[in-house]
Amino acid sequence: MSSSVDENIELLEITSPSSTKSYIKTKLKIADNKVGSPPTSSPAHSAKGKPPQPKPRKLALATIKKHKRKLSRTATEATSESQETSNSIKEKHDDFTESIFSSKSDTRSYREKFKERFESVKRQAGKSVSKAHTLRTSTENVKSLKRNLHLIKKENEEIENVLQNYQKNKVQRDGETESVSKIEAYNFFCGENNEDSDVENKETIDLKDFSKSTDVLIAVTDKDDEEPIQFTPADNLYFNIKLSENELYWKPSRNRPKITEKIESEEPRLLAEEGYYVDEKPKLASSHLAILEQRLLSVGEKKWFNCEGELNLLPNPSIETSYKPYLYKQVNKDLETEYVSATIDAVSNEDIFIPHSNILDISILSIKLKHHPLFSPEHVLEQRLITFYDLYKQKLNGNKLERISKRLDALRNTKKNIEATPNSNSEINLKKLEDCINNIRKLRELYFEESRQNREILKSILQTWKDIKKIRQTNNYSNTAIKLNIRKEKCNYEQERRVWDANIEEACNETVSELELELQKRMLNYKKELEQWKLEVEDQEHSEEEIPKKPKKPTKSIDHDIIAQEVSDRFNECFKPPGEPILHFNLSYDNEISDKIENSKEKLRRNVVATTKIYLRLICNKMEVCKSKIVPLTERFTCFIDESFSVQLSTIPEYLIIEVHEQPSTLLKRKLGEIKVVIPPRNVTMAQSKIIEEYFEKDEIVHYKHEGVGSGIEFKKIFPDNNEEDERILYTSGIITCKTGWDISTIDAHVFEETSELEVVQDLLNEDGTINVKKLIEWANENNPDPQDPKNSALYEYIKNYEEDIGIIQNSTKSYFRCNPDMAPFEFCEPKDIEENLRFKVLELRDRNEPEFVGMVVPNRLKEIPADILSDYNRRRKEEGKNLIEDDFDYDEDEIDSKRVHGRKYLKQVYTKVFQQCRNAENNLIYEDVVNEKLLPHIENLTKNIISNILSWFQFQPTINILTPKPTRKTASKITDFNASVKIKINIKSAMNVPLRNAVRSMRSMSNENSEETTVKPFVVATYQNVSLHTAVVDGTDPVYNEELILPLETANTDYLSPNSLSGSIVIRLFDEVTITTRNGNAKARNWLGSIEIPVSAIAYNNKMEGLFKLRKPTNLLGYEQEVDDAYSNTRVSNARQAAVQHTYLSLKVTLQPNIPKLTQSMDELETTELPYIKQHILNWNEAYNNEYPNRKFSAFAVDINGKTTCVTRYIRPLEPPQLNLDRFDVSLEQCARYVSMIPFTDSNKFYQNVWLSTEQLLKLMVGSVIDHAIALTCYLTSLDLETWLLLGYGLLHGTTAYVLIREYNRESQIPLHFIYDVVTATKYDIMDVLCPLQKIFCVINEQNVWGNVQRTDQIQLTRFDFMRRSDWLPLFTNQVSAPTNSVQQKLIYSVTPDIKQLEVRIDKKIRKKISKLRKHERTVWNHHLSRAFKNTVIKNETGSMLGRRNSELYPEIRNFTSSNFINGYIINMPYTTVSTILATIVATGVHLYEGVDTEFGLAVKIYPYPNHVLAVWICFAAIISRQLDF
Amino acid sequence: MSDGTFLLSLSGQIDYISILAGAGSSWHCKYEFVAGPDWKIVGGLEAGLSQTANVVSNGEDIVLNLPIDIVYKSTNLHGWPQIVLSVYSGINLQGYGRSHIPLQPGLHKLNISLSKPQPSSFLGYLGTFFGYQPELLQPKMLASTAGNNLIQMMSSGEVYVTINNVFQGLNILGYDIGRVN
Repeated sequence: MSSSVDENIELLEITSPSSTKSYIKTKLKIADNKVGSPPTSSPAHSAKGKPPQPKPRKLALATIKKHKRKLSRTATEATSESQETSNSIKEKHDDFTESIFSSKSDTRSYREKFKERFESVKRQAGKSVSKAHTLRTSTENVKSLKRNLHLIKKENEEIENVLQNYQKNKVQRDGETESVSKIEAYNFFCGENNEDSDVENKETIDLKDFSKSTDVLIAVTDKDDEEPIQFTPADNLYFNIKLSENELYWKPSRNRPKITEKIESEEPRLLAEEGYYVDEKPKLASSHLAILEQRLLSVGEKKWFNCEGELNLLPNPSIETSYKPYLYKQVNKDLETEYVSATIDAVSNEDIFIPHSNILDISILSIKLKHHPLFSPEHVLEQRLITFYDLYKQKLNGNKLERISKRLDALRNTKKNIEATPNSNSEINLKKLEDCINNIRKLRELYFEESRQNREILKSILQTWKDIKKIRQTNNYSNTAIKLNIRKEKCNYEQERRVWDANIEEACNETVSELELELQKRMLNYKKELEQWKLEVEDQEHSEEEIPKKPKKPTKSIDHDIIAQEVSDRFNECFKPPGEPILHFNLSYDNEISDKIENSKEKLRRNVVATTKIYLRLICNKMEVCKSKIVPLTERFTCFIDESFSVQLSTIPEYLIIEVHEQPSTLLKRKLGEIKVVIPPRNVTMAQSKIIEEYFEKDEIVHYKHEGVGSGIEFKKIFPDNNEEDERILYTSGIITCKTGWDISTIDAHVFEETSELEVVQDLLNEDGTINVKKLIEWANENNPDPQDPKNSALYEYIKNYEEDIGIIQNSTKSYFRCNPDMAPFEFCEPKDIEENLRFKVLELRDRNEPEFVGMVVPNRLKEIPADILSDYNRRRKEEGKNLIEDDFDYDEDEIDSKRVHGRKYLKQVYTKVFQQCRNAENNLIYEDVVNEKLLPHIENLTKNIISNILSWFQFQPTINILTPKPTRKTASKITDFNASVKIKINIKSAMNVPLRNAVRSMRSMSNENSEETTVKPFVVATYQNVSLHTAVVDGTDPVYNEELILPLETANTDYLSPNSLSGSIVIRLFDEVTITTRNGNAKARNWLGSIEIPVSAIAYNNKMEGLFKLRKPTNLLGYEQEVDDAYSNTRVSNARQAAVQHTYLSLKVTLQPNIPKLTQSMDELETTELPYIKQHILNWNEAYNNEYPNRKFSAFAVDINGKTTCVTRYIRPLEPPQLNLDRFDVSLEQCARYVSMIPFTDSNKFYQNVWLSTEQLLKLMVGSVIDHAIALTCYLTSLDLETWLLLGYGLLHGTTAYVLIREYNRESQIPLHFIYDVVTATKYDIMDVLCPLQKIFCVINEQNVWGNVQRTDQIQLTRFDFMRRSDWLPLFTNQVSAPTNSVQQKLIYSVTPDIKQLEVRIDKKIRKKISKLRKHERTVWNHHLSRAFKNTVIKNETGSMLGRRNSELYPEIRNFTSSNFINGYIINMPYTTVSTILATIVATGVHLYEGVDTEFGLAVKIYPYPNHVLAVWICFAAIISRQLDF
Repeated sequence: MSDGTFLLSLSGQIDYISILAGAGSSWHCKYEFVAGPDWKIVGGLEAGLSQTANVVSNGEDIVLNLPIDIVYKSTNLHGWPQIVLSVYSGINLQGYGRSHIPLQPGLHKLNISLSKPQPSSFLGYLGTFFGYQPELLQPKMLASTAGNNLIQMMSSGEVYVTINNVFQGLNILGYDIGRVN
């Protein structure tokens, strides 16, 4: 071995470098080509070419390994060299692919050339590789490889040259071939039918072969230490396995064997053809069948096949249809699944695992033998006597006889009554009489019978007793202890005789009358029959047939004597004859049984009796279970056993058998008899069970030689001398007294209740589980439960109530409600207890949202609740009962204030009541209040845009941009925001027309003032409930702010369940910032310029309010320029225009985010004053309108002061306005408006805007909503013969509110002009005006009708006001339904306004006091001179405004002041509400904050009274800085 | 407690949300407590917002482990506290859940089913395909009955909450909370 190795080393030394080189090269090539081939398959491929020769290969590999180190140096050299070549080849390859990419035609020649080369190389290499493994050919191979390498080198050079050429060409053609090459490339890689790809495929396959070998070799060269053994091709095990498997395994073929193979006989018999019945065979797949058959045949078991050559397949045993009938409803009791409620207790768990130990207790008390063979005759008689005596007792107790006689008497009385009635011959009476007589007869018979029986018993008893006595006498001894005591009761013979006779006579009479009656009947019958017969006879004459017999005439056969005889016989038989004493019996057992007897037979008998013993056997299921003790038979033949047994039953039989056995001393044991004891129901315990007396008898024949009578003997035989016809045969018989019951431990209490009650209850229940009263009554009648038993009283009550209910409806006496008894356990206390408990009461009221209790904390303990907690509530309840304001309201000395206070209070009550109604109504929320769908409009717009774009696409006008900006949402919300998540955002854009300071002029004159002071520096402050925010200060008369102020809205304000939510308003004030000189230098102060009040609810109900808000300026702003319109122009239009220029406007956008839930009134749930059909009509109309125009929702119903709904038209009616001016008779339009605007307004929630007050109520309460005022104004204006409507719409400031619409005709043009009146400010707006606050019109209302706005546009300017046009205005009332006529408006009576001087003074004082108090650091100096000057101005102002003129001109007195002083202040006019509101308004303006040196204040208060307590308050308040001091 | 009040201390956590969550979505949950008028918070937060939890693979539970801690003081049992949960995926609502606080002291595991309001109109329904989802203005309304007749909800998942509550002074006031295991 070693020598050969040495040889190999030498050889390898020479060859290995080159060979490795080529291998590496090819390897790299393949890698570049990226043709991966699984290396595992390589051995197989190589093995294909050459059969495996393991041995030499091993050797070769081993040698290579050994000489590795020597080779290493040369190998590295070679590798570096080969690296180069491989690189070139790599390039070549790249180019090759590239060339294919670039152009097909061009590279064709190259490729072919290359391919040839390649293949030749490959062939060589492949050969060499395959050979490389073998030692034998290695040297040759190495040589050839060397040659090959040279060839490859040469070729490389060649190809390089060619490639260079091509490279050049390619650059030239690059541009034109690019596009083609892509497609080419695609085809090259993906096209299957492409020639090129075929070539490529071939190549890859070839390369695969190649790679295997190279891989192997490289692995060899790379790894130093590992044995190369791993590269041997594996044995083709699979083939071997397969081969061996084929030998070992047998696979049945899938072809069916021939029939001849399967059958033993030569020819198959076809049974079906022969006429035999052949079962249908189950369907099996034929291949399966074939396999099965093949298998069977291979074993040679032909017995599985039948004569037909088929497998003996049995028919399918499963049946598709069910034999079990489907049970409709009726479920078999045994199959029924029972619901057993889950139990936790261990005790009740037991019955899941352990079956009931069915222990039955049987206690046998005694055996009483009624007859026994050992009876002596005396005994027999004794038993007889006892039997009779029992009967006697029974009769006596039953008292039947007496009852029958009483009934008889009663019947007789009725009979007499019937006969006594005057028209006794009428048919009904006759009928009655007949019935009566019949009844009497029957009863009498019964009576006789009963009586006779009694008498018989008496006789028998006496007879038997006589016999006993006789027997005792004859025998000279007695065997029994029985003794009959007879008590005789003496009777009065005479009396009884009379009764006797009378009875007989009566009975006789009755019998006679009965007979007569019968006779009459028979006579009638006879007559009928006779007629019948006659007819028949007539018929028969013609037909000459047998003539039927003529009916016999009944004969009168009443013989009184015979009857009397019969009756008296009967009486003798049945009744005690008169004079016979009445007998009373009593049995006792105190007769002495004689011990000494001479009679030997008797002695024998006694002996036998004494030795005879008796025992009992208890047999259950034919098995003896127990045996009683043996008891001797006593002389009395009564054995007291008194023993109880417990039997545990596995299965419960129907009955047990008790056998009586006798054990005589000498004779065999014998059975005397047996009884069956029925097993009691499961619930009966021993204590409850009754004593059972079972009778047994055995018909045996026994004869004794002794005195014993034996058994099976006739009674007569014993007593031949007995006269009685007793044919009884005496058999052994007796009575066993026993008791059975279940052991108490085995009875579950529940089982007891259920089973005992349920059986009854089941019968009584209807199918649906209710109690069927009829059945209950039936049951009660049947079972007769004791009505006196308190347990049953409920039952009877129930029945009684039911009868009451079913019967005539009468005043049922029951004062209670029968609750479902199952609910009783859930009642944890009496409902009364809860009602009486103050705490519960308060809790309940709070839960009902009664306003007094909302938000109240209820203490847990009763003692902590103040006793008067309900007083407020009760008072309110009481007041609610009163309908209207009392006229004789007791005003205090301060009449004006108290009236207003009372009015506000009352209105609040009304509102609260309405709110309460609404809150407790069912549908008080609308969807929008609950669900936030604010992205929906965005989607709506999106879809609209998409659709319109699609449409415009067809019109070739794709214009509109699809995406409107999506509303962005801030995702992050602070946790602290959750409490006040609702915010009011006020976007203050700009202000217009801010008044200039008056100082401008004056300052100009003062040369030393800077220009800064000359203009105005306004800023805006927004306030809501003590939260104020302000904007920056922007100079100029038209400042632009663009600021957003965010006011938080507390949860208390947004709680929709609180009646006070959303009240109040946001006040936006415009201030001017000024610099004033104080002691501490210059300071900033602000001058109030005006304010806007926006009710929060107005925003909340519309979520958004946007537009130009007119600033409500004071009448006079002192210290600011007033652009006075010197003379009012003639045309009102231009006037309005001018006014627009004059006024200051704020451009605002107020939004509320997010939406908050608001209650909505559902008008159909409230009571109405309208007729039902009108109500329905209005509701339908309103709903249809609101659905169609969701942006213009309004209610055609208003809620009046009593919480009832009224049609809105009824609120409009001409009402005479008050006499406002003394000098002129006519009241002008402006005066009315001003008067109305001077009535105070409420600042409550918009929720209440559906609550409308009539004008009378408004004047009485002196407070009302905007709508109430608008109604009043409309009514006034209607009376002034103006075309006026109440307009419901949406406007700035007040949101959805009411305006007064007036139509005026111009002299010049035919087109009518429309104006609206804002009742709050008493300003008139032209509807065409841009600055008109009205933004949407919902409807207009007048006395006759309501017109809903159905115009498409919301723009006021484009709205047409021709109400007759159906296309523009939808009328509520048409010809079919006309408006309700009677108005809610009453004629107005204006009360006289009391003197206001005091009030004036008081307000003045209070303001002064307040201002002084607020100015803590400064002394407040009041300039009285100014005050006086103001007062005069104010009076003139009022008269001016009443004339409809705004005279803002300063009056000379004030002029004088301004010339010498700086004055900053205002004159404002407001309705008088309370002093505190006036104070608040004054304070809010902040004039008092002036802290300048030598500042004085001037104040004037003037109240102008109008009728009915309407007061216009004028206040002038100014700070005066003396001008001289500035210098 | 001598002043006729009792205390209810709740502590626990919102464990996780089990909902059909797609991979890559991020979720958060908001909780609020709603109680009757007698109930005053003496400690802890009435409302809270969880961190955002990202879902990596489809359908996995969103584990929040958001601690809840609140102490109530009350005089009456009426208006027993309820927890209202709002679950959001990104900024889109995924469901609301509501549950009463357990009436017995001890550790309680609640699984609160979630539901989300259905859009009112067909257009809104179409909008749901584009991620539109109506929301409740005040999720607290779920704790009362008002307005519940107006909304249609669809169930959407479950939130698992662990709550440990302790009472003080309830027995003194005569309330029996039954046998506690």
